[in-house]
Amino acid sequence: MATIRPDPLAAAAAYRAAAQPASGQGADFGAVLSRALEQAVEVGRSADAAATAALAGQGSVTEVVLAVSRAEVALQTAVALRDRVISAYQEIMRMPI
Amino acid sequence: MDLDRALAVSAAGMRAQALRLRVVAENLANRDSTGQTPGADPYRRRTVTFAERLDRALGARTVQVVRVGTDPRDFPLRFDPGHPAADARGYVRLPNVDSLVEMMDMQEAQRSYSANLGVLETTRGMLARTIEALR
Repeated sequence: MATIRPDPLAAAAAYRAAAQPASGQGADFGAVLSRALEQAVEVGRSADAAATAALAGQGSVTEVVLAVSRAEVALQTAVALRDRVISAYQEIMRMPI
Repeated sequence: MDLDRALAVSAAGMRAQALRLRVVAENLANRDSTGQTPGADPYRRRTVTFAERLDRALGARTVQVVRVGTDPRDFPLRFDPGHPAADARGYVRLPNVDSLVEMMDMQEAQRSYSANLGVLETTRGMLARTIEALR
């Protein structure tokens, strides 16, 4: 039977890794959000292409449903994130100094 | 993400069932397609075979139609000496398509398609509801 042994060295290493500022990896939240938006636009384009192909009689309706669902999810995620960020920003701006 | 994979797997299932329905339609449409010359073979019923497929790019197991084969059963005979495909004894070989079997196959394809569509709708709903939690 395996026993759980506390390992102080590993715990310290894990804590140090977790405490590293995120900016050390060059990924602040704005960049992540803009990448998510770009991805949403990209997925939207592919949905557009699938719909156009289906209307031209080449693709299948299944492909369109799949592509449009993906685009919808990506757009909803991006919009929800944007709303969240803007409301946080407004919250900070309303803070009395 | 698993929900996204579920979407793709359901879409693969729908594609496979659509192909199966196409084959059923071909079989039913050619139920009376006999040969044109004496002794020529009539239309032979087609069958579909499904198989699991590991989609490495997606990281999930999907389904695909691996083979559209033919049914080796014998052709039924009908006595019709005036037919262009009648043999020396006056018998015409008819396609080995049984419309009852085809109807059952069609029902199965429809139910399976609906089931896959249901999974797709549920997955979409779960994704949408999860994103709603952000708001």
